[in-house]
Amino acid sequence: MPLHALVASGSLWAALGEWLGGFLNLNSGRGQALGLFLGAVVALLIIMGVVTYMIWWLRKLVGWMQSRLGPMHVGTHGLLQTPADALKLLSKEGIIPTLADRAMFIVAPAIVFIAAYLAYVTIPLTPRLYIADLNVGVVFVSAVSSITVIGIVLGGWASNNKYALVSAFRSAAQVVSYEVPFALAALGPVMLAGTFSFVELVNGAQAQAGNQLLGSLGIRGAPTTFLDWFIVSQPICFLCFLIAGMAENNVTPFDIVEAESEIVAGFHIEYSGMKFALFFLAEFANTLTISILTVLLFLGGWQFPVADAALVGSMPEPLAAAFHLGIFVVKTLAVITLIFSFRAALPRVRVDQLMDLGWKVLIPITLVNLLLTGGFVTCGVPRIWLAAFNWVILGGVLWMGTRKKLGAADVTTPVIGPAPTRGPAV
Amino acid sequence: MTLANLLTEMGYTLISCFNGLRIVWRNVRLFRKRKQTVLYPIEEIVVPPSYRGALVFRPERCIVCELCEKACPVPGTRTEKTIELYHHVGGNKKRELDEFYIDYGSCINCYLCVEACPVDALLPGSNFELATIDPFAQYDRSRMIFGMRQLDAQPESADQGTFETAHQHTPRRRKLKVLEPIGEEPVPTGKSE
Repeated sequence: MPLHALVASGSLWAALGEWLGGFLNLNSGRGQALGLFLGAVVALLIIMGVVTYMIWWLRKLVGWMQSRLGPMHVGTHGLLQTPADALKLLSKEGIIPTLADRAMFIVAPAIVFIAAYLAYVTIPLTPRLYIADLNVGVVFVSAVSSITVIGIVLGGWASNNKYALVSAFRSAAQVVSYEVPFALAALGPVMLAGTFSFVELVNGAQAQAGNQLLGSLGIRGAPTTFLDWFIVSQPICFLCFLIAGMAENNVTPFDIVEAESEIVAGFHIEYSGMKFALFFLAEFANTLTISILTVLLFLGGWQFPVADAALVGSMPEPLAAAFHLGIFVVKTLAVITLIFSFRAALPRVRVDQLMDLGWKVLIPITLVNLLLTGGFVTCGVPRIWLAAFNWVILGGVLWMGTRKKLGAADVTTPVIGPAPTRGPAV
Repeated sequence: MTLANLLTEMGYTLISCFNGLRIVWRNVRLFRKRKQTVLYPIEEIVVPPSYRGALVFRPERCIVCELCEKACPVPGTRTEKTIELYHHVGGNKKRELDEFYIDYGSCINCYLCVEACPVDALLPGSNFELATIDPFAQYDRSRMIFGMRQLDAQPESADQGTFETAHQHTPRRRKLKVLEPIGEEPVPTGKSE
């Protein structure tokens, strides 16, 4: 099967390649292949640029949260700080330990980065802006993101350093554990939409003449796009997905793999220069991936919250695409900001707590959710009853949480000593 | 652990996470200006009144008792002691001060000399910018030895830095809630009810 028949149905990149190929006397298929290649290169450049400024935003945001300023000096408000850091990393000497397994030591960061980069093959930014709209998109991203662990274990082993090795095994346990709830939680929206493809999944939320949620009550044509986003019908699933995604990609508070204050630097302790930069890039690219996946699966992707179809239908196509892209960027930035603020707010979990959370909490919840959602979908119960059921359970759990009786160990009242004497009382 | 306990724990965890986020977001600069950082070389640092900076020496008050020299615990880098006094005996057999040196290459700002001084000729100062750039790039430790006139020109601290004044002058955004001392009589307000 030729490449273009497999992937390039409605891709904007394929169309661009075909147009460019016209000038180079390429046939349609080769032109499309050229377009996809261009798309991949542009995706790589965009990832690098976005990750650079994600790091800047992280440092700024956490700084503000801790009453600091963050980077201020290189460029206006430190805007050139992270590019300068990247240049510094590139120009540093890449040291390979004498006793390290040389070939594997070099290959490991490449594997980690490629695994992070591959997920972007199937991620759509607008209804047409993607490289390949795979009909198994969700499964593909889930599968590719777990390749990372091979690179991590390889790097830890090849470093010939016991700390790197311990950290690599920690990471393997963590990523393998959280792969399960991650995939199970992603299945919730997939079951409701009835497709694995991201484009169909986002469009499917309002595909059948819009308003599946209110439509199930017999209300037609209400301009409430946001009610069809899967966070409304699957709020518990959304929380599980976010937690599992953060844990799978070693984001704080689940970053015991490279806990700065406990173990020296994690599996990349022996890495320096460009190879370290690749690990770092992959880590932030993974954070970006889970943010984008959360937006696509639960927050309606590129859709405007109110009356998306009517609004976009009144625009010319380039304007509509730009509009969609803008909405997508804003939503992704919001999720990234949420994930980054967890970094400032929450303390790191212990290893046993991490495993408990994965195996005893997230997997049972997502499994039950899978069964229930499947039951609701199979029996053809209207969507609004599923949503109501989920919200009632979530609200009940939160209500029980407010009623928790605090034990002595939970009380965290600061102890302040007696007042200093300030002379005789008048 | 029963199911009810498990659900309670989960709900409590979610609420705690939300509280954590609320607390960190309260500090974000967009909403409230709570910056603690001072961009030092660009902005000016206001030192607290009890700050122990470079000493201030008032030669006109000095009675050349040499108590400060005896109180000083460290030997100097270039001089024999960190504080050195030179005097001659003038008319009426009265000691008169010629020169007073402090070696900032070895001074540890312990302020024992300030406490020893009976006439307040040595005073606490607020200057902390003691590092110098030599215009000719000749790194010479003798530049660290400050003479009488230099020390007289140093800015004086706002006060001696007692416990009370330190708490009065330190800028605080929010007052600490101080618990009432236990087991003491309540302070009479003067009003009878």
